[in-house]
Amino acid sequence: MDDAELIQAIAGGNHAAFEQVYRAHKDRLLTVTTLLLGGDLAAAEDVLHEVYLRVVETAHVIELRGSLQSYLVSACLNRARDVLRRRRRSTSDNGSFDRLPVESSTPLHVLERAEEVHALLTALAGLAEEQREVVTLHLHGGMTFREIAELHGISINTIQSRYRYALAALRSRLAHDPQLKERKP
Amino acid sequence: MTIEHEFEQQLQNVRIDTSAELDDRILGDAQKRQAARLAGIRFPFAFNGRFRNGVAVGAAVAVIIGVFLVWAFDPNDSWAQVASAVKLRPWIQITGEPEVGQIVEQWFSIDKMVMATRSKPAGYAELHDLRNHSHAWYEPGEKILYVRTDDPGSVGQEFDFMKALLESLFRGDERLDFEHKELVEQPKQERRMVEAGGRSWIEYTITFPDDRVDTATIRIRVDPDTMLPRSLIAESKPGYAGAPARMEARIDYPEQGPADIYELGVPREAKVVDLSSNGNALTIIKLARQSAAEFDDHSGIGVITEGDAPWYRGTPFRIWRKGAKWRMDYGIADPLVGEPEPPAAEVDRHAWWKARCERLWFLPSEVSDGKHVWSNIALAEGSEQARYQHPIIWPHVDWPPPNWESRKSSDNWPAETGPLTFGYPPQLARQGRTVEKNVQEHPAEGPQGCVLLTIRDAGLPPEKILSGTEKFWIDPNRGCITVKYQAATDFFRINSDLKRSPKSIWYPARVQNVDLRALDGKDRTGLTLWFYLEFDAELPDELFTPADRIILSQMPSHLEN
Repeated sequence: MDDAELIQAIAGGNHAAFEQVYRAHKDRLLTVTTLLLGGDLAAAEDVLHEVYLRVVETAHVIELRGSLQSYLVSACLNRARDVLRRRRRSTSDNGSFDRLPVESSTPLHVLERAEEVHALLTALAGLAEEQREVVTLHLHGGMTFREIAELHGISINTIQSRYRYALAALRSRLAHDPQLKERKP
Repeated sequence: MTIEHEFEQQLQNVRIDTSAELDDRILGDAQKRQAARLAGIRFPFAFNGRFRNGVAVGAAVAVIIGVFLVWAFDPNDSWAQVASAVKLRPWIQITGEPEVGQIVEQWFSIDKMVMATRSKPAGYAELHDLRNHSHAWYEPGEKILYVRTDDPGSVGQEFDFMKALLESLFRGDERLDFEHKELVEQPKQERRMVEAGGRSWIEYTITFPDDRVDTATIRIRVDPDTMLPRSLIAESKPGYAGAPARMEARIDYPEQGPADIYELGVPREAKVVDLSSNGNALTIIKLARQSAAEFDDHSGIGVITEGDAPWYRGTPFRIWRKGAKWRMDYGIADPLVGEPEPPAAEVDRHAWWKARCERLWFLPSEVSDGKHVWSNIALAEGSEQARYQHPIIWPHVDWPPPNWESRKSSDNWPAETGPLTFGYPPQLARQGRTVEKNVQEHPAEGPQGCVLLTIRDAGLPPEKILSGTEKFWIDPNRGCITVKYQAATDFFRINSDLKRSPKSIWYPARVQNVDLRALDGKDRTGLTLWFYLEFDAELPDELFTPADRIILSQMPSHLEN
């Protein structure tokens, strides 16, 4: 089944179709959302929960203009922005990468990579929101610059500039990370 | 590779996986929501554009409305007095106007066990008759009335979730019981007496958590004399959904309700599409399931060969099954072992493959303890394409340790591994509101002695119905084993060399796939699976748990150390 047929099957009550969609995108979406939320895994899980249930509830009216993956990533982005807006209104900041179940290529590499990965995530969380968005959507959400530009309603050149600045900022931050300096040549 | 590219890849490698708990929560909640939607619990919000982003509100309203159904079907002593009074009135009617000029009504019958919905002027109508397992709905856009008389009663599933809330409401509790928080998150609550319309009401105000994007409030007004709910007001606050939205619903207890779907305004001349599965179809599926469930515990070797390749030139895999537990490992040839020499014509094929397996290394693929399934997603770099070549040849030392991805085991169908999954395909359990299953007892084509079971989704657009249709030629004289399977028009599977287990249950020893579609640019025509089963092997429980490393139980002797 293609994306549109899957959505149609979900609208028809086909749980197997939903499970297929869920499993195909869940880790990507959790990664994207957690990064967008500055490492707040609990909030990201809530967003994921809400986005997927919304797919069930609204499958009959969903009209895909691109891929289902892009649709879901966009939905997570919108929800994450909403969470961030509310967070700005309050004083609390729940962001923390300490509790993240970071996946590595193999279990044996988890320990040796953990600090490095956390340093990367922390640096990402330190970026301006719009820069973090473009890096996360492109690298982890699998969206093209054109798709991100359309999503933001701005030019592709602006998006690419943000991306370049974001990468430069990240590399600069990581270069000053003492843990990484010891580990990397 | 540039430094920038390397850095991008470094970032890209960061991945955060969902936990098994989150998977269970989302999949479980989604299933309940789907069941609720199938059950027709779509009171006003399904028709309301302004509430389209107000899913939380819609779900909550569905919960509260669903309460009445529980009450109607399963009253208990704690509110027997009230229930008794209402039982004198055969119908409960809820009427709302989610948008100006758009009316949605629902009826519930206590004695008749009927639930009905109508929207005006949109023209959608739906009626469930739980006692008779019938379900009918009219799609005004298509001008088609869909009916089925084999409704599994999914409407009833939501009722259990509502019961505690209902009891709480009728007891007049200070706090309504929302113990089923998997359906609706714990809300804030307030109970107070209010004056409205010249009289007093008990008013419950239920506010869903502030951190939800669709913050919503629902107020229920209860008549303190009868303890009957009389009105319901749902509001969404400004925020994500844009402007605030509000809907009032009136709750009545009339003497009359709809006798059938036509009384809901469905045109008598509407085209009727009967989606009911015929009785034979359900019996055959039940028998096939029984065969798969009762199949003997076993171990065995399966072999994948391609095209015209001989039986001995392929990739073996080992299978084990013990009740609901199962496991599958792939046998991969080290380049130093290479491909086999052609055996003698009269050789015992099973014995030959057992000997061949002793020279291969085995990669765990999937393991299940009956409750969870672990899939090994670790791949050696560059090995993706190797998986499509048979035999698979790869140095065992290059393959990374297993990386297990877990999921909850499905209990939909008891045939997870070959050859059972081909002889008794899980697709037989396919469900859906518009999925129909029918049997032709004397099909014009197909293997001799077989009936033809067709499963199709009539809800798909006409141009896609064919591609979503599956056909199963099933032999009712051999435990309802599937002998031939066809998906759409371009994929066939032929099960042959049928054998019997010690319990006399049939299974295919040869499964030939004919896939006319191109997959990854490769012609997959002619993939064949061969099965050699044993029914007396020991099956220790340790086999059915994910191991930390590749099991080299059959290490080629010259590669040891």
